Amino acid sequence: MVKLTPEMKEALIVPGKGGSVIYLATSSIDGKPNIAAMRYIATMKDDKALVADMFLLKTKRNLKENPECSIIIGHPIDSGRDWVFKGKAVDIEYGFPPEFDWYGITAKEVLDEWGDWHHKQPPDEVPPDVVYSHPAQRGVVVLHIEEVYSIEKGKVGEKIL
Amino acid sequence: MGIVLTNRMREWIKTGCLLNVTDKRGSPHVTIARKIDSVSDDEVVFALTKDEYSVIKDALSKDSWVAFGIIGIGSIRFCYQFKGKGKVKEKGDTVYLTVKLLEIYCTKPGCYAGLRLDLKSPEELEAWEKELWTDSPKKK
Repeated sequence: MVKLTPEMKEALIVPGKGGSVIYLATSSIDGKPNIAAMRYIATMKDDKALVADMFLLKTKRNLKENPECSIIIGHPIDSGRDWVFKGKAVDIEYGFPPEFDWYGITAKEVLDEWGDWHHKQPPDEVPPDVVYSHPAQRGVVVLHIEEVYSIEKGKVGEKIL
Repeated sequence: MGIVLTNRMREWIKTGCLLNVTDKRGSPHVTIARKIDSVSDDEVVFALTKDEYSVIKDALSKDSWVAFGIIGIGSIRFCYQFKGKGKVKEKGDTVYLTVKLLEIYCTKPGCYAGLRLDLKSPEELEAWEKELWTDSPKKK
């Protein structure tokens, strides 16, 4: 079982609080890849990463047919945070039964804490030409992390956890 | 209609990318491409080190789709995703991965998220982009 290090947990928070911009990498069931940058990121327990479902399209569709997913630190790069977190993800949307369980975490726990992410952690650090006018959160993607590997210069692909 | 990358796109792509290639199980394999050999109208050639290539080698040999986004500050300032088919050529310690671009998506949060851009003519694409952004990456 993977246990994220304190440094990894510090990296997996929103950029405005000292965290990172992350990429969410998924695939359709027939193997077409997708990769998109995200701001709203957090961790729960020792092996879960959470991402807001605000503007997900293909990512959302992919996760509905294929839970295989990776989260990658996209920015800052070459700063000791060059990690890929790999595992299985679900998009816990409003309407999920509160007791729905994803590898030891319930929909209620997730949505109670992160269901209104924009107000909890507003995007104050996002440049005005990138920030969105009206966020519409539809759920929270929960990645159950099973493996962490490196994309550090000279060590790409090395398993860390 | 063929893809013609804008000058701004070419500049940002050269700053480095994260590449996603998937295997038969639909599992994403993500590597980093710190060095870009060249960018033309509809093709990007990544110059990968052996270790960068090792992460995607097996998956790429079975399925040539490659999706990529930009690393660093470009992940905020350059809101696009590119998809295409990849071909590999090894030369010494470098693996050249040529991706022929087939699809471009806007990933700017909000109403443009997911908008498919490769269906626009080169002129339309250029004009559309200029309305949203004009910045280029700072030279290193």
